[in-house]
Amino acid sequence: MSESEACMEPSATDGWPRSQATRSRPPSAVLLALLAILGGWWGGGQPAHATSAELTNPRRVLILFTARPNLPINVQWERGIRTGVKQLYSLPVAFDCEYIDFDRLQSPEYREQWLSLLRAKYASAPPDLIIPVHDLASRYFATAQPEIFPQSQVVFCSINEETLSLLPLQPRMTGVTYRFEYQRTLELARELVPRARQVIVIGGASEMDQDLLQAAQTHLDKQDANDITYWVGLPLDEICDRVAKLGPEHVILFLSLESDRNGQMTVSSYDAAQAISAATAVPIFGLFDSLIGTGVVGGQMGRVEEQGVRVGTIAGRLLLGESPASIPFSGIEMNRPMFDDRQLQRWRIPDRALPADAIVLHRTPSLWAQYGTTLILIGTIIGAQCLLIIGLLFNRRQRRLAQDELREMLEFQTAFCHISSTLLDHSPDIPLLELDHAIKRFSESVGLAYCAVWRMDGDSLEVLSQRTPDRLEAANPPQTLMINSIPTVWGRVTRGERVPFSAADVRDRGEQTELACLFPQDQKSGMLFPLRDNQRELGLIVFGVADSHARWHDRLLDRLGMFADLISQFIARTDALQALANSRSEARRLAGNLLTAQEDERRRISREIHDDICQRLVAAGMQVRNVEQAIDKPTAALTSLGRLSDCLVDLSRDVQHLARKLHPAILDELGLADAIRSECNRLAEAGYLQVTFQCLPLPDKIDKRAALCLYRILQESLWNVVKHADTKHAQVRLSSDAEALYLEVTDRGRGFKAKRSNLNTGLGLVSFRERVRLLAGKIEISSAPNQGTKILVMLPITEDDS
Amino acid sequence: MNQPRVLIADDHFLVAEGLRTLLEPTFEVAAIVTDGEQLVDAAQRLAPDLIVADISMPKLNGLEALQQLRNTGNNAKFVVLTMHSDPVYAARAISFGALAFILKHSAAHELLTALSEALAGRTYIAAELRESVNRLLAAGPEEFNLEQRLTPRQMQVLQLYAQGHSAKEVAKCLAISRRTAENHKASIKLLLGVHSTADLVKLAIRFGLVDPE
Repeated sequence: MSESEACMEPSATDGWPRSQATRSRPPSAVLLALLAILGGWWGGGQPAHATSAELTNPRRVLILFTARPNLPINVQWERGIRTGVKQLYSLPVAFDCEYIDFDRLQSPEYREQWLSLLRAKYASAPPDLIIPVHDLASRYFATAQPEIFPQSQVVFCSINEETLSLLPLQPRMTGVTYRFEYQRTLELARELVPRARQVIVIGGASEMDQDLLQAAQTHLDKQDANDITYWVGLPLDEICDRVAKLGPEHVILFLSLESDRNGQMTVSSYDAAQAISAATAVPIFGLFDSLIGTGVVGGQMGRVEEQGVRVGTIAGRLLLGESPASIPFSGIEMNRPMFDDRQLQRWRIPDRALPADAIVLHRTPSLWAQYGTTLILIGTIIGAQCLLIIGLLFNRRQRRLAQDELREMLEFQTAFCHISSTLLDHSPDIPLLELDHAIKRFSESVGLAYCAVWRMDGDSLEVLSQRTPDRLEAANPPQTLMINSIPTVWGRVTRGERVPFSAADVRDRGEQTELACLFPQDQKSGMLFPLRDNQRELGLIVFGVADSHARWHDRLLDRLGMFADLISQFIARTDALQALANSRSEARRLAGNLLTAQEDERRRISREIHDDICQRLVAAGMQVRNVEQAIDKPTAALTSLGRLSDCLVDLSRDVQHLARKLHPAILDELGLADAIRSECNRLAEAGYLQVTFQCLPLPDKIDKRAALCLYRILQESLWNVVKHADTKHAQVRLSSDAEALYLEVTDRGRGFKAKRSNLNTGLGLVSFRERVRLLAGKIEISSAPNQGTKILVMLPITEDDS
Repeated sequence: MNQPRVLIADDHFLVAEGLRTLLEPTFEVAAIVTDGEQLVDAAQRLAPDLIVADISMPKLNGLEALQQLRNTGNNAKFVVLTMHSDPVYAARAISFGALAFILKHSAAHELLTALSEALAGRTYIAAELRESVNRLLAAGPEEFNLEQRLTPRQMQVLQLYAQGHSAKEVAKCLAISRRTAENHKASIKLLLGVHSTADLVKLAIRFGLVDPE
């Protein structure tokens, strides 16, 4: 058997080159090993108890190979042994290898010389363990020279169980056996190729071929030998021809083929198997694991390296101190069905037909196993690209949406800018026309169905401008509305809130019912915004949308809010412009009135002097003449003189009165307080008005202009009370502090609407303001119907009193 | 017998001469002066028993001259003779220490009576004004309650302080300088006679400027 193994791969050159030199020990190392042995055999050999000697003098293992060193099968055995030892024994082990040249061993001289060489070589360091490998080495060692190293323990490696049974075993021996599974392999062949009825067994003609063939026949003849045909010693070419022509009912069992019956040597059984496999039309089964790969489907067999590992582990156990007697021979159980996947595929034998414990070698990697990584990589790349494309598409869509939105916003902003510029730059003459335009444009730009601006005027609201679709013309809301008719809504307006309107809610809610007054009848949905300027209510603006279910988007609300602000500004600005125009015309009228008044006054005084005083002076002159003429008649003269005196006294009183009108001397002579007291007293004595005058301490010196200003305002305002207030009482209060002079004139009369005062055509309140303004003072006039009137004048006290 | 010496002050020469004519039978006319300063000077220098003076005169008017004389301790009996038929003038003249107030146009009838009354140390007021003047004089000096002592501005300032605003806020609210606001506060304390802000707040509550909390 071992010969067949050895000869199957004689030409294999890819085995590990074995250098003998590396196996030879330097003398010092050998000496050290001896010293270690002499110094005391180790007891347990446990690595934990390893001494330094153990570390420096490793245990020695001698491997005895049957065949030449360069056979690949030797390499597998040795690798297995070394692996097995290493698994159990961690200390250094020195391996030595010897090769029995089988052909030469036949000669007794060679044997003698070889043994003495061996003895001499290991005399100084006999191996602790000897591992004879395969049948011939084992048989030779066990039978011929068991005592060459009597102290060494022996582990047989891959010894045929039949061979083993013939050997004289000693207790120091144990080992690993093998068996050729002829029957089991044939059974497998039949199971896997069910159509096969005929078995062809191919054997060779060499001695080793014949040994194997006889063993096979011995085993196979025990059963249906009728189906088995033996091709023994056929030339390889012929075998190839014949196997090519075999019908499907055949199956081949290849044993070995080292030489044919003509003595023609094949290169090796391995090559023969390869050639036959290439030619055959039916599956070939074999007995050795080394045939797997040549084209043989498989068979029941053990693996060489696995046997080596088993031997190695047994060696390890022995090195650790176990006794060989306690380790029984084993190894047969390692035989298993082994197959070549490529051949299984070639003969279309499905995996499921194989026994459960089958080993399948040369498994063709599946497409997935071959290209899985690439596929994953490609898939990942494609996936990533898809994601990228999706991302880009999404991005493009987002960008388009953003662009659309931006464009829409830009359009709105352009429109809104235009609206606001026309509204706020309008010429004051036609503001309402501009407002109409603005509402129309804004409604179109945001898509409003209805829009109206309500202006607050006192206690009512009126429509300033509105935009209505034509169809709504008939259903317009009223154009004016009392504020107290929409109390809830107005309350919210004064708080600056916006109020949504929905026609659907009108029946349920008071607020919505109020709102309905502000919207056209068929307006379903809308929103009301307050119009305010600096916390002052100006009115409100209502927006109606066409769709009753319209959602009030934030953006729309923002825009409506912006528009409401714009309209508020517009109204405030229009008011301001109006007020400016009013004040200008008021100023013009005042200037005109002042001129006229001055002229009127001069004319009146002139007429008074001319028509009255001059006439009376002339009359007085005539009285003097009368006295002259009647100087002889004392009675008549005295009468004339008395009349003359009365006339002159009256005249002087009237001239004084006139002078007082022109300028109140009392102001200079007695000061402001007495002048005012005098004026109050005068009105009281004339029966016009009862005036209560309170005068708080005043500064010693009062600017004459300020005094005159206050005096004139007092005169005029008291006279106003007399004329308009419909009351007999007034209160005057004059006071001062470090900041200003204050004059307060209060009555509890009829009062007036503050707004109307602007409309006074007389000099009245307008001239007050003008006088006060000239002195950088302030005047506050507060009045309400039936609440009386209060005038407060503040004149700052200036340092440069003259 | 020595006639009472009288000093006449009137810027109208004719009137003054008329007066001299009217008075000379009964009085010795010490001098005639034509403005207020001369009046004061002559009164000090000549020490007349009686001064008859107009109000409207250059430099110092008659009432100012009267005040100066009284301020310098001159107690010459003073009669005002004027065109101003205004009871306020009369009341002011009496309050300054004049004994008589006569209107020029009724001087012929009343002057001598008024002078003799004045010489006797009694007050005489022209008949047509007498009632009004007595009413004015009866009213006497005004009395003000606390609330009335403040100016409108001071009331505003008090209200804002009482509401808890700082001087800075008060100033901002009333558009005045902070210093002015602080001056106001000091003046208010002085006028109301209080010393602490807490008292100010109490008064503001009493005046109804702020709600008690």
